[in-house]
Amino acid sequence: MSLLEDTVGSVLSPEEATLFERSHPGRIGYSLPTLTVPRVEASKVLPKDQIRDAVLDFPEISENEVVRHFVRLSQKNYSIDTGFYPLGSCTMKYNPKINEEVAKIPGISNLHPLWPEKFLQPALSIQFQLGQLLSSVTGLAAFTFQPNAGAHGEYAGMKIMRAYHEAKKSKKTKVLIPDSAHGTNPATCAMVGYEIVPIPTGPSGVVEIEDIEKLIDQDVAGIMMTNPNTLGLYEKNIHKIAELIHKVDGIFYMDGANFNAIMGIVRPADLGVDIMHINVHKTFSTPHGGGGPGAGPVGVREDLKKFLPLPVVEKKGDGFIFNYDLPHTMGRMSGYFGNFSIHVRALAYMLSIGATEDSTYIQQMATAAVLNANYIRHRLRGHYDIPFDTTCMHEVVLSDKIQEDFGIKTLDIAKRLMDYGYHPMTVYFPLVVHGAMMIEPTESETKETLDQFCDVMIQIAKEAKSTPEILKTAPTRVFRERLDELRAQKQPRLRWSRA
Amino acid sequence: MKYIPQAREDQKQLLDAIGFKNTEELFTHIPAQLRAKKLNYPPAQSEMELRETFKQISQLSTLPKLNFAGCGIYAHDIPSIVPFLQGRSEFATSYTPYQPEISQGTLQAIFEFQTLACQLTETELSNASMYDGATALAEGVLMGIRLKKKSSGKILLSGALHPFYEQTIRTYCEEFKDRIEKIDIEKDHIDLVKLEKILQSGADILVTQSPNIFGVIEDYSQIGEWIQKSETLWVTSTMEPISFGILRGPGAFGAHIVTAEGQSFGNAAYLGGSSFGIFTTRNEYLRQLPGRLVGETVDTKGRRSYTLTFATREQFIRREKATSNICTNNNLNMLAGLIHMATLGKQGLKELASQNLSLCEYLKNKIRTETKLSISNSPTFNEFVVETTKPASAIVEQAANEGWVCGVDLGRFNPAWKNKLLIHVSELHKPQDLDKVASFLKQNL
Amino acid sequence: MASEAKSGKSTKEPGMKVPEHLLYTKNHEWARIEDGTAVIGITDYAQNALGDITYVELPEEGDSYVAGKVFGTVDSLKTVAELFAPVSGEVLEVNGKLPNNAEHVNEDPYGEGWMVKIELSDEKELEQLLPSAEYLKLISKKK
Repeated sequence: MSLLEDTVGSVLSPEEATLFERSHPGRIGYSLPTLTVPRVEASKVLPKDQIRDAVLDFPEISENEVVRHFVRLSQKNYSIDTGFYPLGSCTMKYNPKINEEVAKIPGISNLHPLWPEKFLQPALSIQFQLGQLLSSVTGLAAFTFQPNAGAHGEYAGMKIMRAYHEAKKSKKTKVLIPDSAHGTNPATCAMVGYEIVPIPTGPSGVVEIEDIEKLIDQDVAGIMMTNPNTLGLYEKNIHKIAELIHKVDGIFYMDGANFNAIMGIVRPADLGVDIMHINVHKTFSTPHGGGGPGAGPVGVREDLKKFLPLPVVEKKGDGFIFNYDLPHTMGRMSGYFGNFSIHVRALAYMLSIGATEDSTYIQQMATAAVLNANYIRHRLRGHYDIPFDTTCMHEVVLSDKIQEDFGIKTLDIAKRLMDYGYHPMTVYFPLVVHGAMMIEPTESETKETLDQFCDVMIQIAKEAKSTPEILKTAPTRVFRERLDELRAQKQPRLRWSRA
Repeated sequence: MKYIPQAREDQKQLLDAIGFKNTEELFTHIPAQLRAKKLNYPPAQSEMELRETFKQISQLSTLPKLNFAGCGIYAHDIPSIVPFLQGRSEFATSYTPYQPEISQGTLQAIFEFQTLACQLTETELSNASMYDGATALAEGVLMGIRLKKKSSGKILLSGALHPFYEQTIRTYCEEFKDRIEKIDIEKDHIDLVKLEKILQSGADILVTQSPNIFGVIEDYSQIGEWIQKSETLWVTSTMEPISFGILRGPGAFGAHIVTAEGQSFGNAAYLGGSSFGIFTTRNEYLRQLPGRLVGETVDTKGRRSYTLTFATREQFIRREKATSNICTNNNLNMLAGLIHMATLGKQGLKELASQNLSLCEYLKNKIRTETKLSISNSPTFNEFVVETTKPASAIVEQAANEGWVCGVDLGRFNPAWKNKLLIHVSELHKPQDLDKVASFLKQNL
Repeated sequence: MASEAKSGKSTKEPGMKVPEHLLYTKNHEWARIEDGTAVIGITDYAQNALGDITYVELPEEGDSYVAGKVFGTVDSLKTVAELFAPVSGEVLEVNGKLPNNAEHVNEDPYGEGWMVKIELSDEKELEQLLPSAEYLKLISKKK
């Protein structure tokens, strides 16, 4: 490679060497105080056969170089702060910066989980207040904060369902799950040891009462439903389904992944929901972080409180305590008390979207999110197939049916979006729609953004017809073109090593 | 509302476009009697008010003047570049890197982390990280059970596991609870005589932790020898990953699945979350690995690129037959850990580990010479148990009354441990801080 | 690469090879009956629909299966398909080469890509399987 290519590469091109290739013997990126006690020889105090001299291949890089490395890596990522992120079912809304600021207050960030409670009042107070606010928007009696993510919340919720039935010595074995559910739902059920009974999606995109009636019997431990569902539709029969489930002493579990659409509009408990997890990183604006940390607090109705994971936060006198005295608990979900750093951000958000003079910002948010999705649905009608073209909630699902005639698939449309500067929508999900494209605009976007996005989508639909080969080779204007994913598996290279 | 750009005029235009008169029409399919009534919700706070609210919340307690609590979550110095880089929008506000063409930053970072995790633990294969050390261990046990397929042998848990880790395993493995058997402790480590016997009689899985709940380094070289002669799968846990700067990784002794808490690298305590879990194993077990995995490949132009790979193991494809329901890797916490490890580098990690060891040994000697309290001779890294002559809870309370934390009372987990005070020492402590602990213990016991 | 080998071999439309001497299921497995045993694999149509196959998970020798039950899975890059036993019986032999050479299923679904050999426990079950003409009709309809 010529010097010119090499040096241009260092500023603007998408190439960035790995940490290991940047390493140079003897360079230092750390600073530690000089040791002021006698240095202890490892061999004097540690088992000789367990001592190691050094982690051999750890890189040696100066601080400036470490900074440049990670800044350059960051520049290869698309993010919400870069642009519109229409990922369906992911609720990629704006992540307020004040939330980050308050989470960094040392009196909050440095709390050690095993300190005496008198030192932990800020943390306990935050979890307690967050629980109260979540109760007010869901109608559920109490929340646990231990689950570290949405799927972890599902797991805790399903364990609570199991604990409820076991306490009654009932031997229920089955859980009903709509076929449009997120993959985590059946995966969680399987982990908890329930047999999964899929519910077909009805002709109008929602679960029909008759299908539930056909599937329900005394062996049904409960149902797991997402509302609005993954087609972006409100499950209009949900309250009647809850009644049917309760008739066989089943538990109604609601997956709160799509709660953003209905928060402040309906309270899940009023629909008959008994257990629900909340994806704090979706509805409550905490950053997705490129794949976590999230948080998945789980709410339950009054009589299920006793099964919550240990411990629960309670108010006592002027302060707060951890209550470990729950003889019927389902157990412990993780090392300590959940992703508290995320709870702080969620509380900041919830306090900022509260009541105004005539309503709450919460209701305005849900309304704006739903209106935006319907606007997109309206603008793309005719250009793309919309399998369930009725008033949708927070997201709209399209298919590639029209484009298939030109040999263009959903994947090609998604990849072409990148060339126009957008992150693709969620693709090939839900599975019940062939070639699904799921678009969720959230309340964070302006009308101009929605319009430009729709203009681009319409342009891509035209390209599918006129110049399909452009779509098939897209993207060509971003950091990378399509990857050889087969090679990644056939010649696996899952960590760096000298070539 | 600054987070909602939809002004009244925008709303009207959007409604007109879809042919609706008002926003109520968006919700006509929800029966009126089920609509939420007026929410019982406090008034919205402005940014200034939020700042004040959280300042007040943070002052509900005073931070301890000195802190010696460890036991799974450790205070260490966090270099300023860690929060600076971790907080960059492009890392913090991006989604899971399912679209590799515009997510190479996160993907390459994960690939680099996988490499460092293998080096630390001396294993071949690492996933992109998990929620925390306890869930990583529980997933490790589940993976062991899958690898043993039809066998229904014993699942042995060391009696010296952190009890919260044990409880997490019991939650995850409830289905297999009849197979779980605890191995006794001999003083402050796993009872090796019993372990040898029980391994000879056959077991599916052995779970150990080192340093263990008492801070003691287990005899992995001996356990490894027995494991190699047996059919047992060995799953290990480490709560303090900085110990890998001076101690061999469990992979070197033949551990099959190696897990660790990652918090010490780059993450503040935050009540124990969020942090990240390290999960590594052997190449041959790739198909049973839980969680996300990044691999290197090329794009159509032949340029080196990274992508999520072997995804058919995961829940979003395999659904109920997936290796786990996990769909996050606490990525931003892992990133903080990666940046910390990168800036420490080979020498920094060694120096950090050596300082922790030296400061800890200094305090142990100080207590031994200045008090009559007993400290075991078992090897430790940066925390150890002092046998107290009255309940450790009383000592902890006494220190708390003075405004500091002298350690963790292990009696909170197990009444049999009520006279055990676990003290953690790190580079954050100055010699005079350590002297204070010794004189405090002398005065109060 | 697998896809090149495939296009090099096939003269017909991709995915439409249906050898006459085999029996088929609606789930796209084939069975070759020889001396009271059935050799089982997936059809050319199935491998073509799945795309590049990366992994095959098979049962162990000695396992028993009931017709219609899942006996393994096939992973392609982005999807997983379950394998349903066409007949009941004990697994006598497993194609040990497949886990590391999953591309055999793409390249030669009726030969090197065979999966398991099952001892027939009930020959009557064979009546439930489709002859080649009927299977061809089934997949032609799908096209």
